[in-house]
Amino acid sequence: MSTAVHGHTHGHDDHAHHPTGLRRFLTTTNHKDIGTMYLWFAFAMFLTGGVMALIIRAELFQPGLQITHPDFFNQMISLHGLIMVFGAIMPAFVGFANWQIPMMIGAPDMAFPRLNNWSFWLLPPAASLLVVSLFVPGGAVAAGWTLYPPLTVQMGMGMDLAIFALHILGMSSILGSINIITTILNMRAPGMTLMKMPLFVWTWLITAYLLVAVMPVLAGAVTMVLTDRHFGTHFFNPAGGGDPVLFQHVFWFFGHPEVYIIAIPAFGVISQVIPAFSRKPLFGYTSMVYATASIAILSFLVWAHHMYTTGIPLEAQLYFMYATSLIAVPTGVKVFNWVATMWKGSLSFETPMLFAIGFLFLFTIGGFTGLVLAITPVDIQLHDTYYVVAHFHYVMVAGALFSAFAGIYFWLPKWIGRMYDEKLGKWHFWLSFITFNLAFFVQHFLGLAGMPRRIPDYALQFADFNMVSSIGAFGFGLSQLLFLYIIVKAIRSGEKAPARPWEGADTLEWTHLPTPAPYHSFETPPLVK
Amino acid sequence: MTARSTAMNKERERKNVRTALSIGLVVLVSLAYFVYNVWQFR
Repeated sequence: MSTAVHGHTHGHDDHAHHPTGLRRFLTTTNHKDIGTMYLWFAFAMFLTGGVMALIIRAELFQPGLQITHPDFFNQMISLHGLIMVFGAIMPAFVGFANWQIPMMIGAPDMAFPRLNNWSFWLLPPAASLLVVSLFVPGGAVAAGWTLYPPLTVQMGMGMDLAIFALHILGMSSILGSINIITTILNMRAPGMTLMKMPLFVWTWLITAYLLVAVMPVLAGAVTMVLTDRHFGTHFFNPAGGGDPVLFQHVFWFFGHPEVYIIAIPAFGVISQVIPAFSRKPLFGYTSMVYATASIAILSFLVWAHHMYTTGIPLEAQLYFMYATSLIAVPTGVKVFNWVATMWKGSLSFETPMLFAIGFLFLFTIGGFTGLVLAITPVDIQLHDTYYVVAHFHYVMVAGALFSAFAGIYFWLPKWIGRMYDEKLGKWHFWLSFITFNLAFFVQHFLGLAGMPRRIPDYALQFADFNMVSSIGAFGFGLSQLLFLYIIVKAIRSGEKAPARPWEGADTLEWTHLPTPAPYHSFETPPLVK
Repeated sequence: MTARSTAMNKERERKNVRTALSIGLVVLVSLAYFVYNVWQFR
């Protein structure tokens, strides 16, 4: 999107009156500080969940039980999923939202700065509950991140801690979403109409609505598990006449939109990065907005494609198969628009663009395998196999995480006023790209050959691909230490960033604010033409 | 800050609170409806 702007460039923004040290971060109401805290928190959780992934892959390096007890393996599987989804990826994109939305719409801050501080500080206690649950009697939740009963009705107190953690995380998400919606609807600069907003802002507006709609459903579902466990209800416990499949319906009514809660902000980042490095406006801006909204609406209507094997009626299978296939249409619109943006563009391949193109390739693979799994008879064969694991890691890692990397490299100069090491950034991309595919591409073959997921041991014929996958996973994990080094190096001794390091980037934070962005920006709103 | 800009800020804050409360109300009503429905099912 190209937005012409005039007015003054920045106000008395550099007078940053704020406490220093720990008090600054405990009490801050500044959207930039809170964005930074979200991003560092997400990275810490990413490393925590990553260590759990490596424990899983170390166990699966060879057939037979190697290093973990099967129950501990199940706890690793479950906590890895919960921590990566709720502790790493979601907070990472909320970090982007905090930093970028006010600057992109010309607002001085979020609509409710103190609420914003509270939304963040709810996260560390919740994450601690999840991690601490490993050390209580019975260990952590071991039923997978989907928390299916009757397993979760029977587990030890680790499950109660997980339920409480999800309540707190859900509250944080709902409050954060209300803040984001209010900011976008009420605090845009004069002239910044909805259809002039950068696509990243649009994607977050839509995501925030999704969050507001589905987080209470998750909270309701886990509360019902809690009352089944302690207060004598039998919602899900078949021993008392309850129905475990009811939980699956309620969970996936949250769970499928959740996939898009993670993917849609990632689409937003990619929609900023690709035009900037193609030196062209985004192709089909309006269709991108409508495609994103369509994906969000459709995401409410497809939940039972996760449940083809539960015995749902044939008519329901057909409906969910067709509805799910329909999502490929708006998603295809987006992919074609990104490619068309690059078409005949003046392309350059700095690290953010490499991650964006990596996203485009690998997310499309993840999308296609999603379509394969949408086909009921195929899914009945592949359900709970490694094919599913490969599919959603292409969406979550190569989709969401690669997009987060693209966004961090893209906006880092604006945030800290220094450049990252471009050569090391490219190393980070290529190492991540290659090792990611080593780890996960082979899992498609394992799944097609029938290897079940969430099992610590496997038959001999799966040995070779598992070894390759584990080597790839350890390579991917190590590559992220390089990422940490690149960021720390940029903060400590990076070259000073020019005011507009990417000449193709044309949103307000690049055209209208100095680099690095001052502590208080847009105290007087810019006028957008 | 001029009296005018303070008044504008107050008006904006009121508008923000109205928006947030209306979204919050929708969340609470949907949650209550959901709990009511599930309760019928127990």
